[in-house]
Amino acid sequence: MTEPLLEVERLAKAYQGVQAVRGIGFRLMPGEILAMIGPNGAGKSTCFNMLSGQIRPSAGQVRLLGRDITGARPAAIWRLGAGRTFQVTATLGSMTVRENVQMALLSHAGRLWRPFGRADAFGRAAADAALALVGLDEVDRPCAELAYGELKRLELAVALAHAPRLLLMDEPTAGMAPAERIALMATTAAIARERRIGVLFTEHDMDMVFAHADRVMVLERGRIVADGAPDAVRADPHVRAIYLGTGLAPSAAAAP
Amino acid sequence: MSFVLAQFLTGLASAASLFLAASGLSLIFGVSRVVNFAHGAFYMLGAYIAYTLTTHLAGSAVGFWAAVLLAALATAAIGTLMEITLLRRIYRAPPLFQLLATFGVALMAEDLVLLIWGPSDLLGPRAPGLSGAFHILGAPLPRYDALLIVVGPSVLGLLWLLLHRTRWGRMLRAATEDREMVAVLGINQKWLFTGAFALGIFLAGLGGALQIPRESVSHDMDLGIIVEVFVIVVIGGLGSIPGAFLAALLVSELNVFGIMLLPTASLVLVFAVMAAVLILRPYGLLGAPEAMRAAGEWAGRVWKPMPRGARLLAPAALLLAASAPLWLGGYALSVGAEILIAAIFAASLQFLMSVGGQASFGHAAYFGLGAYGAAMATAAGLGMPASLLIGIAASLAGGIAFGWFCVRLAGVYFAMLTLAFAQILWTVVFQWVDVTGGDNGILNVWPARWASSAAHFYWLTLAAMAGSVLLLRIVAFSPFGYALRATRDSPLRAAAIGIDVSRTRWLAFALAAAFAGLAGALFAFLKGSVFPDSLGIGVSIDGLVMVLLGGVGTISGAIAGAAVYKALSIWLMTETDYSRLVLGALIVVLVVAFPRGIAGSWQTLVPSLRLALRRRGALAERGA
Repeated sequence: MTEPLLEVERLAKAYQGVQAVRGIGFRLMPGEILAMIGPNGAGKSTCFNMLSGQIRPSAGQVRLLGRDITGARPAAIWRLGAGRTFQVTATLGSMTVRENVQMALLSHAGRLWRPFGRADAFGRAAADAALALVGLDEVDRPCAELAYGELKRLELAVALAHAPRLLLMDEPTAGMAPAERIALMATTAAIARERRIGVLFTEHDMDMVFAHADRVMVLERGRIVADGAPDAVRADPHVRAIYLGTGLAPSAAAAP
Repeated sequence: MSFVLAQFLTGLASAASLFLAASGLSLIFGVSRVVNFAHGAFYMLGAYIAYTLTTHLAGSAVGFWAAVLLAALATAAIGTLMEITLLRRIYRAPPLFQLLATFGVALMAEDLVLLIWGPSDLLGPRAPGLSGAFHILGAPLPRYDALLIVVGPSVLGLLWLLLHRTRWGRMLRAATEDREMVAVLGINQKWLFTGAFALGIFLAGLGGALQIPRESVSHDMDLGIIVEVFVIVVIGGLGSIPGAFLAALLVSELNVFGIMLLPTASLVLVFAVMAAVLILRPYGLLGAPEAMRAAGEWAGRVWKPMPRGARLLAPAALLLAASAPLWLGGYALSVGAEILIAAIFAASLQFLMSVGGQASFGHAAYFGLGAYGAAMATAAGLGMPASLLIGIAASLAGGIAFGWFCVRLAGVYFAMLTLAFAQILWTVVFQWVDVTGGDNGILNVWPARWASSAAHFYWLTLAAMAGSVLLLRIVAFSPFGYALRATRDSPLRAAAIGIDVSRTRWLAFALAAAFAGLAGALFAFLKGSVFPDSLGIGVSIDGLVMVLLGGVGTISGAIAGAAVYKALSIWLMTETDYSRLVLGALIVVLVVAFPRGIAGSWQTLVPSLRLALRRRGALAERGA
């Protein structure tokens, strides 16, 4: 049996008495695509931000490739091989598309402290290749000019730049046009399977979830209420009750 | 015991005016995000106008209080005029440009006050019927102080009612919390901002007017109060009125008891408390985390290295500057050297601000450390090169020590913490007479023989300036410079690609401090002496003005800004007694005319001119 990529145990977060995440646990295997769904306020983003180090957990443990990363800083978690994208895109607005990826490459090469030499000369070919993979070829465009869907793709290219083992995507397709969503998730899934990257993503579009996830986990009020194969989760009466009228029900009804 | 009580009550009374001014500043910042540097000037103006009105109307109690109220209203009217005619034009300019504009206004006010009321301190009338004193447990309490002790909480209560129980007040609070949402809701922001200014400046004017029975009115009271008010607003939490009240009490009591307990270090105390509060509670006692993120304001402009034309132009300009000793006299050369030193200082701050996105309000600390380091080394008998190095090392050490705390904060809080450290250092230098000479400074800091002629010293500073700017440019385009810019663009993204945000900022802070130290060390040798002024708030502000005048987004801008500002201020000083009035007016005009700075405007002007010329050429061809 292969070693799990990510192991989460009894992870919890309380904000001044409000329990946002109440002790959740799960495992993610290399190459597995795991969707985390749940209604607004279920604790998905809090959970995500604890995994990537933006928020310190109140309790519990997170292990990446067997190493304890509980409460580690984002930069340290990234170095261990976790790339991530944000719900509201976070890119480097004063740089070009290529430079955004070059920064990740420079960081991976350990060259960020060099006070000489041109940063924009480093790893151009590798950056362009990473961008071509997500379908961005106008690499010299200012990042600030990109449309929202393009920014989402740029974030994916940046997250994949250091050949991560784990990819965390918080609502990767939110705000994109339908055709773009399908293309982006298909690209992500293909790359993940080919490189054996474990993917954890949250998503509101249930079509995306059931089309691409190997496994689905449902969060409600900070707890995992269902975890299993997409079909099993879709058939779960409790999940159906949570999602009644919010997207899962119609698409579940439409399924054969 | 009764002495302690008397001191405590005096502190409470002093808190009233501080609270009034601070709540006004907090209100204005909360709604418009403008750091109103002219706030102290309006406080002073309130005091002066109240002086004039009370001397005419103070026959009766009604006349006195009417005069105080009228003074505050008149101040508010002037402030509102400033908002409508000046600030409305530049709300869309880069952050801190409004600060620059209000700084121009503050400069003008200082000289206008001199012109109207003359240079001597003025003693206002006592409030009619309030001249005696109460005795509480044996402690004397002047009746007027008793009144002020009541005024503070009353104004706090009235402001609370205004902000919570009126529609307009609710709109002000909504704007403080989420400006964009307020705009979406269809509230007329223009008048909301104007209203916030009117109210905020009314409070400042009232604070000044209420002080006249307690202290004499003078033309330099604005600088003292503005620093204290900044400190209060930051300790209390920006935008929080109750926070301002608490902090005003705290600061007043610290002032009173500081002199009693630590007479030699009293001035440090307030700033030390502010630094401690910011380190433990980065958003002040009652403040909320700043909703505003700086990222959007910087983004959008991709940096490009110099175009070829400019790259050829730079050596040509350098050659021209190097030939100056052939056609300039000794005095002009020393002015030239001073400008070059200012350019190094401005370039170091520019690096921190434009690449790092960290606007320091206390960069003078590192200029002064460099100056004092070099001067003390020279006094100890070291040669000039060693003294220069020691100056730089002192600044670097200061930058490393203070920077560690500062880089954890962002935006206005960062600015205020840097200011606090600079003020702490200033007071240490000022009060530690045995080591620094205090107010008398350190004299006889003369350059080595090889650099002592005007031409040689000029060349030395020119080489230092060219080298510094070149090095800073190289760093800006290096991986480290890009990483720094990444932390500025999006700290979230920077951390998510493995950039150590705090450490990157820390190193940049130390680097900028070291270059500022070089400028300071050279300055000590240029003047042959150092005084506490060299790390005073004036030098920090000079630096900001030079950077903002030059344009935030350009590294070369610092040179242009320094040349224009320094040359103007030195020239004006010799030409007119009212140099601050002219300089202030010029700053205001420049800010309105070039909202992107001189070099920044040049960069946009040249392509658009070219385009216009080409179009005209095409039209002419078609016409023929």
